[in-house]
Amino acid sequence: MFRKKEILAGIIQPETIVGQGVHLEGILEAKGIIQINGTFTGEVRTESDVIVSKEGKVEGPIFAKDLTVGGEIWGDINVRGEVVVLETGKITGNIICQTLVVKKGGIISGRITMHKEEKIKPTYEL
Amino acid sequence: MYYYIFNPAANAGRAKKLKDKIFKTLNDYEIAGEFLETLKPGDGYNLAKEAKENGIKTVVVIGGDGTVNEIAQNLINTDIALGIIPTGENNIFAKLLGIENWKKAIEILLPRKLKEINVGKVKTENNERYFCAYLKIEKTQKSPTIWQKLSKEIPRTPFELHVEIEEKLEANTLTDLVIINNPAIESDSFNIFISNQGNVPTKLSFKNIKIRTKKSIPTIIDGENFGFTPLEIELIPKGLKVIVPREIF
Repeated sequence: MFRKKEILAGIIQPETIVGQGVHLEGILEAKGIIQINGTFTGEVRTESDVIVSKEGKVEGPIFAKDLTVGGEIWGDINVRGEVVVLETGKITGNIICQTLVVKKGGIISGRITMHKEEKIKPTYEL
Repeated sequence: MYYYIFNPAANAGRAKKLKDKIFKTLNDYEIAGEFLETLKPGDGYNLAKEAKENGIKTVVVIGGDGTVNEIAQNLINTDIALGIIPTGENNIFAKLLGIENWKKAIEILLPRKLKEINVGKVKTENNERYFCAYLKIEKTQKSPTIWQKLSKEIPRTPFELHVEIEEKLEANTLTDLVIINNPAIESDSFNIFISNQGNVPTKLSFKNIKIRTKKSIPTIIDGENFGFTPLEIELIPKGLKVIVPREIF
């Protein structure tokens, strides 16, 4: 959680950023943190974390270690660790994760499957 | 033996004043060699070509980013090492390598620590060229005010940009674009920054990229004008041998 605060505060620089006002389409693949402040249509894959900021919108599946959502996601989520839905966050899709935190105001529409261990086999390969 | 190519016109001619000091310091360090001067654009390219044909092992550029770029064209994918004594206005490539000024640069030349770095190859419809440090696509206002010119704050006009990255990612935006080749970061890809009117820029990594714009936009590579969009950019892994500071690399 501390790490996520640092990312959101700009102390830790994500490896990949989709800036506000930019529309990206396709497969967004990285080894490091991906932060989405703009709009993205397609598949997001990383061995690390995904942050969808308040202004961010994603249409498509997300595969990551942890996910923080302040914006909107339409798509299935497959996360090895934690999903945090912030006050402004909205997910429309099925979620697989180990831990789920939904802040007051956060919205989820979909099926939630929670697994016990983080070390599950990833369902994708980079 | 080191083969020095000096551009006296670098930094609007200010580099000329440093000539004697640089020459004396090189003599003090006992690394003086053949010392040649460029007289006009294109001379650097031809002198580097001669160096290659004559089996020279180390070419040292005394100049700015534009001179480095011109000379590097003939050193990429060869065994010739490139040294840099920065005397230009911005010296972005030297700064990315951790070479702060001409004095520090001469200290770095002495131990001749080499690093193979990635470079970029950019193609327009009828031209191609390598770049060492950066590529920039931006559209500045046609008639900036005198104050804007003096303060170097020339407003930029947004333009429609379409970027295709490795046939798997496409970006559409109204904006400027900068591609940085940072040799200090061990990487098999470039960093691309797409700015957007004061917001946090888009940052992506790639090896190959295609850039289209609705209208042709001028492109700047390593501080010099180079053609217009559309462009194709390709990473050339470890394409250039550069003399670098031991404490950084």
